[in-house]
Amino acid sequence: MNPIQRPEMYIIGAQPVCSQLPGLSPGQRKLCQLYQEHMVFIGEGARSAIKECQYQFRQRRWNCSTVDNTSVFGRVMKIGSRETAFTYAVSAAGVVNAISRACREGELSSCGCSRTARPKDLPRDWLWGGCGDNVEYGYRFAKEFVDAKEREKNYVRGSEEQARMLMNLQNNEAGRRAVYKLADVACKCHGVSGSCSLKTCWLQLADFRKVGDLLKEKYDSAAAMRISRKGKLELVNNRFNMPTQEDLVYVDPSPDYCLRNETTGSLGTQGRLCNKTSEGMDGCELMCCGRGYDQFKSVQVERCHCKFHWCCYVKCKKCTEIVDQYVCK
Amino acid sequence: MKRMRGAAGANSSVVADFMPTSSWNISSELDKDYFLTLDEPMNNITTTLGQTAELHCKVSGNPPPTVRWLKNDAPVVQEPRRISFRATSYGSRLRIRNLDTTDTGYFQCVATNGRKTVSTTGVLFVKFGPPPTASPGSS
Repeated sequence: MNPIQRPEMYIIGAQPVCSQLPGLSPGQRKLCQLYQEHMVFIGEGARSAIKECQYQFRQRRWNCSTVDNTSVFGRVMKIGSRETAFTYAVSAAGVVNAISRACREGELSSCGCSRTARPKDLPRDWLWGGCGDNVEYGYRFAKEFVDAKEREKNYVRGSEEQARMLMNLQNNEAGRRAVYKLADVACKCHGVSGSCSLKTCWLQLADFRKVGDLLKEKYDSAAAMRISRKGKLELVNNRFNMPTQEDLVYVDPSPDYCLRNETTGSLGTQGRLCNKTSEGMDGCELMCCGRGYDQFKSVQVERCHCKFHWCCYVKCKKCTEIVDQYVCK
Repeated sequence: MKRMRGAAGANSSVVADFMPTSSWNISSELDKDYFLTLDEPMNNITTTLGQTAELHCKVSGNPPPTVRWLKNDAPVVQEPRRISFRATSYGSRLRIRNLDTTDTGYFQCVATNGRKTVSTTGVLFVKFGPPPTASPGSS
């Protein structure tokens, strides 16, 4: 499984000892030793990746649930599906994001502010030189660390294992590139009382939500691939265009996410909340896979009738509301 | 036979040095000249951003071994004009120009000549420092 999807790495503050972190490949263990101070940020990146995955898939049958502690997303990741593709991409993106920012914040001794060249289209009187997020470093480091696990393996050419390895590498790259692509110029005004006669600009990471949105689009347009005898991924249906390095690929069909299945690791949708009035994936019809749903009355407590009092606090009342909720059978 | 030629051309002396210490009971003619030795452990390097580093893999053998380079257990990928490795008279040399902090790693060379495999590992540590041509800020 993808090493950065390991919950043990989330321990923030505690300096993880490389030999005690389960799930690291031999090469990653070496990288851990050499880049110890990076590990906290890898964990941070992984956490934001999981959060983003769960947000993007909140209304889907597969909702990116984290299940056990042997691998965060569970056994379904053994299947080289579209969903697996997304988790690899978003995890790699999370690492680039967290490391790039850590560089800018001066948290790492091996990198600093971004050294990206001034964009050509930046107006001439604007200054280029604020401390930017170091996406170049984040990208390079994530490539080393995240890909290490795949790259140190040596599979038989044309084998299923090799197909899966190439799939993972491709999706890792797509995730890293999403962060790189969305990083943009940000500027700040200076000058007499903020007159904006002077502007300083730097490179800034996009909000991670945007990265998630882009990768979700890539998920929707992911390409089905298979391994050729020469050991390269090729399109299953060659009427489509070859995926670029920014695209997601998968090699296996998705398992049935409707029913719980010990073999595939699918959790099933029983017990999931659904929307009675929606026709979409979150609607009870699709979410419950035609099994029907139970209706519950649930009491929701909300803060309401809030008033501002001088100075300075807000006083609210508690309102209770009874709402209908629908849960898949 | 061509077994003594090739990249290990300078190794006849090494054979002489190493054969007596070997305790093999050689029976066949083919086995008589066979050897593979690590002549020196790999060098470690600590340097700074932008510099060039050379790691040396000093091995000899008969037949001449083929050498693979690994960085943190994964094969080293050559980059045009930056990362390259090539066979030398003493074994193999890995050169990385314009070093980046992400080049930091455990570099291992693995030499094989059929029956035996030897390997040695060196650490390259690239420290982050101000670029050598730091220009003073505009004042």
